[in-house]
This record gives sequence, C-alpha cells and structure tokens, in this order.
Amino acid sequence: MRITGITITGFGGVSGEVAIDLDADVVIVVGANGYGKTTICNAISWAISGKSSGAQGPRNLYSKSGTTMVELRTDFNGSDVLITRSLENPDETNPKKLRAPLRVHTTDSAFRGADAEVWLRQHLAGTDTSEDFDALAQSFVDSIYLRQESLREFLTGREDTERFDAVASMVGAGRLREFADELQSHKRAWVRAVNQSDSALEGDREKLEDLSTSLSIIEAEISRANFAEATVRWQIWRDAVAALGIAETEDFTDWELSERNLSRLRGVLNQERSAIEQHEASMLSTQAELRVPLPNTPDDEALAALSDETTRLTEQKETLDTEVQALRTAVEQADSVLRQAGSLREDLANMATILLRHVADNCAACGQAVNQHEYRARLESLANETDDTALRESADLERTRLEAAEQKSSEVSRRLSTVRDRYRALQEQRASALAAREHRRNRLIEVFASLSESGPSEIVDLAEGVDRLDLELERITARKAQVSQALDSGLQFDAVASLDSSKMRRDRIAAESDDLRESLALKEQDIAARQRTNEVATVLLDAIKSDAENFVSDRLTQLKPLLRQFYAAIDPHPTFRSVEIATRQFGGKHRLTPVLRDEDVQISVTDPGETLSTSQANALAVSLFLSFNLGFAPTHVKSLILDDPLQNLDDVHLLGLVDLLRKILPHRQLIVTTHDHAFASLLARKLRPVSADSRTTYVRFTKWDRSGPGVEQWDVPAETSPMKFVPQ
Amino acid sequence: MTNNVVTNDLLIAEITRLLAESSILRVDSVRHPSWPADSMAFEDEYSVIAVWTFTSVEELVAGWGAAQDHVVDLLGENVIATDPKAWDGYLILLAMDGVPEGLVAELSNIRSDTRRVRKLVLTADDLPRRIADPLELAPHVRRTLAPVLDLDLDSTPGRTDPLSSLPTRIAGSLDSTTHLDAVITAYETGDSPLEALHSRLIAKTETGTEPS
Repeated sequence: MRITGITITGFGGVSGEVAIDLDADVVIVVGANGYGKTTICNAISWAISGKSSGAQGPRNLYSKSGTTMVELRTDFNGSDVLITRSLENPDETNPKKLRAPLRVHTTDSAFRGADAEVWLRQHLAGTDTSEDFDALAQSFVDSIYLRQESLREFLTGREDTERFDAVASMVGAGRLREFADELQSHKRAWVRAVNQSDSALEGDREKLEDLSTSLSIIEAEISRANFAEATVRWQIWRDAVAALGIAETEDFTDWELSERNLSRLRGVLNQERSAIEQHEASMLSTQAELRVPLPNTPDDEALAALSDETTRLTEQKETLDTEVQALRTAVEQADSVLRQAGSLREDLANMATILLRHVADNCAACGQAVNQHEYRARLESLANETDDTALRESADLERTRLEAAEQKSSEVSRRLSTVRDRYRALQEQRASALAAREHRRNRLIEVFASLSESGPSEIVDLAEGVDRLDLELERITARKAQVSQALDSGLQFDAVASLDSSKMRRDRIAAESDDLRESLALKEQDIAARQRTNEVATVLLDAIKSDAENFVSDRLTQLKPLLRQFYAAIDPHPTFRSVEIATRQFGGKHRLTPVLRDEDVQISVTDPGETLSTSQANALAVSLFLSFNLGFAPTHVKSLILDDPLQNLDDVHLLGLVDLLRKILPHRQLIVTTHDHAFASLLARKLRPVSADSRTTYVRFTKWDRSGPGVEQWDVPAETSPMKFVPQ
Repeated sequence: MTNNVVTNDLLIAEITRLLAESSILRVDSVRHPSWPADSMAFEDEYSVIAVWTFTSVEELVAGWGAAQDHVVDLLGENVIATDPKAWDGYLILLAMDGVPEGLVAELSNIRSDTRRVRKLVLTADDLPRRIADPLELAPHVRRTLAPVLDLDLDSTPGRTDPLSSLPTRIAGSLDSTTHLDAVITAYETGDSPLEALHSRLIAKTETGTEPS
C-alpha cells in the first residue's frame, strides 16, 4: 500500500480543509514549528489506527463546521482505495468517548466500522491474523511513522520488558502470543469442563454406594425369610379361592406364591365381590319396591251401577232437550205475533192522528157520515193505543215454560257429567292397579332372569315371587361373606409376598449397579484421558511461551546485518560502531536491550542513553526504525513517515541519514517533515527525481492562523540526464 | 586455503566490485590528469565518487585536502554549479596502515568535515589483517562505504508467520511435535486446539503409534 493523497478537515492544526497530493516517491514537508506539518503525519496515523495523541482528541479547536475527518487516498497494487475516518460525536468532551469509525472504499466495495477494520487488517497484515485491530493498527503505525521522541523514549526511557513487547509485536510475535492466549483460554475452559465432569461423577459415585448398601440390606432380608411354611398356607388359600367357583377367570390353581400372583388373586376376589354387591343392591332395590302396597281395584258392581245411571240420565237428557226445543219454537212464534200486532197498531195510530186533523161530519177516509164526537174519541183512542196486553202475556207464559224446561235439562246434564266422571275414574283406577301388578311381575321375572342362566322363569303369583327374591338375597349375602373372608385370609401373605418383591428389587438394583459401575469407569477413563491432554497442553503452552523470546531473538539475529548497515551508514559513534539487540528472560519476563559494541577493544554498553549523545542516540533510533521497517516488513504499507528526523543530528549524521534515505528510496515512499528549510533543500537536492517516472514533491506550510495553515506545493524538477561523466 | 595479507590492490578491487554492484560506474576516462595513478573516479545518477589511496594515515592526514581539491576541480569542470550533482561528491580516503593514537582525533575531524564533499575514511584498522577469500573484505569495506552503496536486502528476515516455524523452533523441548502440528492446524481452522490435541492423543493410545 502506498499513500497517494490526503484531505484533512477540522483535524489537528487544520480548522478548515486541506488537501495535499502525496502521490510521489518523496514528499518533503517544510514549515516552521506549529504550522501543522505534524498534523499530516498524525492524520495518516489517525486514519489508519484511530488513535490520536492530543489531550483534546483529534478535533481542531477553531473548526467552524464541527467536522473532523481525514480522507487518506491510497494505492493497493494499482487499485485506488479511500480510507476515511471521521468523528461521529465531535461535541463529546471526554476524548475516551469519542467515536470515529473507519470507512474503506475500494473500486468495487465499501466497508464501515468493524468490517472496514477487518478489511484493513487483512490487507495490511503480513499474515492472516485475528489480532485485536487497535493493537495491530498501532503496531502498523509504529512501524511506518518515525517520531523522534517516541523512538528515543523506546531506547532510553522504557523498561526492557516494554521494549520486548513493542518489538515482539513488530516482528510478528503478536500472532504467537495470540496463539498462546487462545491455547491458554481453551486450556482453562478445558480444565473447567474436566473438573465439572469429575464433580458431576460424584453423584454417580454416591448413587453407586447407596445401591451397594441397599443390596446388602435386601440380601439380609431375603436370607431371613421362611418361604416353605408360607408356601403351604398359600396353596390352601389358593385352593379355597378356587373352590369358590368364580366363573370366567383364568385357571390359577398352579400359581406360585408371589406378590404378583397374590395381587392377581385379590383382583379376582375383589371383582367377584363387586359383582355380588351389584346384584345385592339390585335385589334390595327390587325388594323395597315390592314392599310398597299395590293400589285397590274397584269392583265390577259399582262400575255396572254407574253405567246404568249414565244410560238413564242420558235418555232423560235427550227428552228434556226435545221439550226445550219445542218451547223455544213456541216462544219465537208468540214473539212474532206480538211484533206483527204492534206494527198494525202503530199504523192505525198514525192514520188516526192524521184523521183527527180532519174530523168532520164525514169520515175523511171513506166519506161515510160519522158522529163527530164519537168519531174523534174513536180516533183519539186509536192514536193513543200503545200495547196488546193479551198477546204479550201469552208470549211471556211460553217463555216461562221454556226457562223451566231449560233449567231442568241443565240439572240433568250436570248429574250426567258427574256420573260419567266417576265412572271414568273408577275405570282408570282399575287399569292402573292392573298395570302395577303386571309391572311387579315383570320386575321379578327380570331379577330372576339375571340370576338364572336358563332365562326368565315363570311367575304365577307375586307373593311367591317376593318369597323367592328373599331367598335369593339370603344366598347372595352368604356368598359375599365367603368372598370377603377369602380376601381377609389373603392378607396373611402380604409380608411373604413382599419378600418376593425384594428379590426382584435386588436383581434390579444389582443390574443398575453393574451398569452404573461400567458407565462410571468409562467416564473416569475419559476424564483421566482429558487430564492427560491438559498435561500435554501445559507442556506445549510452556514451550510456546518460552519460544516468544527465541522467536524474537531469532528475528533480531536475522535483522542484525541490516541494522548494522543502517547504523554504519549514519555511523554516529567513532568507537561503538557495532550494534545489536539482545533478548533475555529474567523474572519470568522477556526483556530486550540494545547493545553497542566497540569491537576493537571488546567493550559493550547496554544503556545507549548513558553512552551516546542525543544526536548519536537519535541516529541509533532512526537506524532501528528503518531496519525494523525494511527488515521485518510488518505491514504491506510501502510508505515511511519521518516527522522532523533532523532534531539534534549534527551535519555528518544528517548527511548519513539523507544518504540512507536515498538508498531506501527504491523500496519505500518517503514522507519527511522538517522545520529546517536548509535540510528541506538538502532533501530536495539529494532525493531529486532522476528519471521521468519518479517524482519528488515539496509541500511548504507558509503560515498558520485560526483558519488553519497556508499550504504551497510544487514538484522538484526531474533530472532527465543525470550522468555527467558516463556517456548515456 | 592459505590466508593472504590484505593489499592495496585487493582493497581497490573489492571497492570497485562493491561500487559496481550498486550500479556506480567507473569514469577513469575523464579523470583529471593530475590525479595519482591509483586514484579512481566513479559516478551514479546522484553523485560523483572519488577513491584516493594513501600509503599511510599520516600521508592521508596530510594529503586529503589536496585530494578534495582535485575532486572539486573535477566536478567544477564537468558539472555546472547549479546542478545538484555539483553538491553531491564523495571522497573515499584509503590508508593501508593502522591509525596512530595521535591521529585518531584528526581522522575523526576529517570524517566530520562535510564541507565541499563528504569524506569516507578507510584504514587498515577497519580491515582484517589476513583473509582467505577476497569476499571476506566485503562487510568491512561495506561498512565504510555504506553511504554510497545500495542496501543489501538479500538477507533481510522479511515477514514470516511465527506459527509455521514454531514446531521446528521448540522441537527440542518436546517429545514430539506432531501434537503441536495438530494444535496449530486446529487453531488456524478455528477449531478447538484442545479437542484436536485430545483426539490426537486418543488415536495414539489406541494405535500405539503417532498418527500421520
């Protein structure tokens, strides 16, 4: 991976947005201290690792947009990949709570958060590792980003154990440690599981012990039992039960004494007693029913007398009805005559009234001479006549006779109805008595039929049937007593029969004990095998843990020639001209110490901070950094970021460093910052492009204010004909 | 094989070989006529390198200034002043004897003097007395010439997976590494390493031999 550009927004010393083209073999960044050079380096570091060194986090304090974002443009084997990190919660005041998820955009995919971290880890790591991204990313950054203060601190300020851990991570021992941790974790879980399994067997062991105890007790009980005598009694009882002649049961005459057989025989007896009790209940119910008195049967004479009286009254009633009918006709005729007479009288009155208005000596109607006075009196009499008394009295007489006849007819009807009702009641009483008697006979037939296998028997007389029922009840009661007695006698075998159950229980417990013992043995064997596995794993784990030092030591030994090349190129010390890194284990911890050696007189020092000047220590630190990066190649990042490496280097070491950088140029992209314009010019001259396809770019930070830095950028001209002596 | 004394010729030959390995070409044809016969000039894309031989350290201390003048003259005659290469000269000063105690500081000053051209000093103290093979000179010469030589990255350890070589490294502390192989394989495939180890041990118990 090679860095081709960066856009910084609201990050570090950039309040607005700054975009810088980094698509060059050499990027020289120059500017006064505080102008934001280090911001570029930190932005690259933050984009990859998500970690920032500032106490307030990565935010720019003067940012107006509130956005904090770094877009890192990169080239992965010819494919453009954009790595972006931005603050999600820029207002958060606690730097530990800031969230800045990673995003990765390739030409055909986009990833965010954990997925982006996985993508980056896989594409930057040398091996397919699942190490924690934060630690791994920091290791990546440490291997490509040279910060003088942190390197010098690595050499002179850190404990030798911390140095070992840092270098171990860089040389790939992190995967070894990850493997050891994983193995350790599985081992702990394994031990826990084995211990739990072993504890779980305690229950089985206790159960096996309990079963053994139970077996001993049962064996003792069985040995004490007298089966011979009990068997004789059993046979007697069994025969007695057989003699009861219980129908429809299996033949139990050969059943041996056992809890099961005892239970089965009891079942037979109980079933028989239950059947007897059912019959008994039924018969008692019938007996109670038969003891209720039958209703009286009316005699035939009373019924005949009532029949005759009915006939007589019926005839009388018919006669009276005829008489009433005749009288009704006579009344209707008298009324009709009376109505006709009334109508004539009214016509005469009307005519008389009219003639009265014309009374004279002659009749106004016929002209006949009349006595006027008499004529008037006669007319007035006619006009005032209102009733025909004789006709009315005749009609009233006929009506009186009719009413008398009707009253007499009604009385006869009432008497007839009473006689008929009584006759019907006596008839019903007689039918009911006959039915009750028949019902009792049928009931008796039914009861006896249920007791007899030959079907219903003939019942001639009810009293005889009742007597037979009483006898049958006595017989059933006696049989019930026999069965109950047999059941009571069976109780004597309970204790003996339970011993038979003990035998069965003994056999069952013995079988269960054998199974449990076998199962327990297999489980204990498995646990023992798993404990052996844990022992072997312990040996392996110890060897693996110890190997971390061997691995790091081997790797450092392999690195030695390269480290010496780099150290010699800068050549910081006139006598301590040989350098190596030694590892050792002390106090159970791995330790790492840089060793400087004067080989001419065989003197070594293990504390460079006390022997070397600041400039010399810096030169050693740079040598270590470069040798780790090129020697171990801990990441696929082909860029090196050197933040102001000039600090405290004198001229000759500075030239040595620049010469070294020029030799690294074919292998790494270089991004170098400096506050020293002379050094920047030296870099531009020494690291100039010497062919058309190489590029050195110069980024100058011209100012810094609250709006951010001023940035200028130009390319160092390529030298297309660099050879001056050798003809090209 | 007998050991030979390191001579000036052997040293020059090794220097020439190492410079050639770094694509630094000899340019004797343009060498200034006033240069001694055993001096040499080389060039690569970035710099011009002169090699100047002295019979002793005393002579070197006395004559390095004149040698530097010759190199500057050579640059001045062939490279224009504004050309970056005009500022990219190296002078390798050789002396085939040891450094007297009294000249140690002087030599250090010469090395530290970065004016005009950079001086790289190689004396007999930097070399073995005798060698069986001229190639034995290489690491000694390379150390002084490091600023101008390409990096030798052939022997760099590079990236490696510590697990792949783990069985070999800890073989001495184990009865057998086959168990470890099973554990590593299980770890890499995401299976339980303890289960894998257990299966391996059970198989060995049942068969009496190491499973393949």
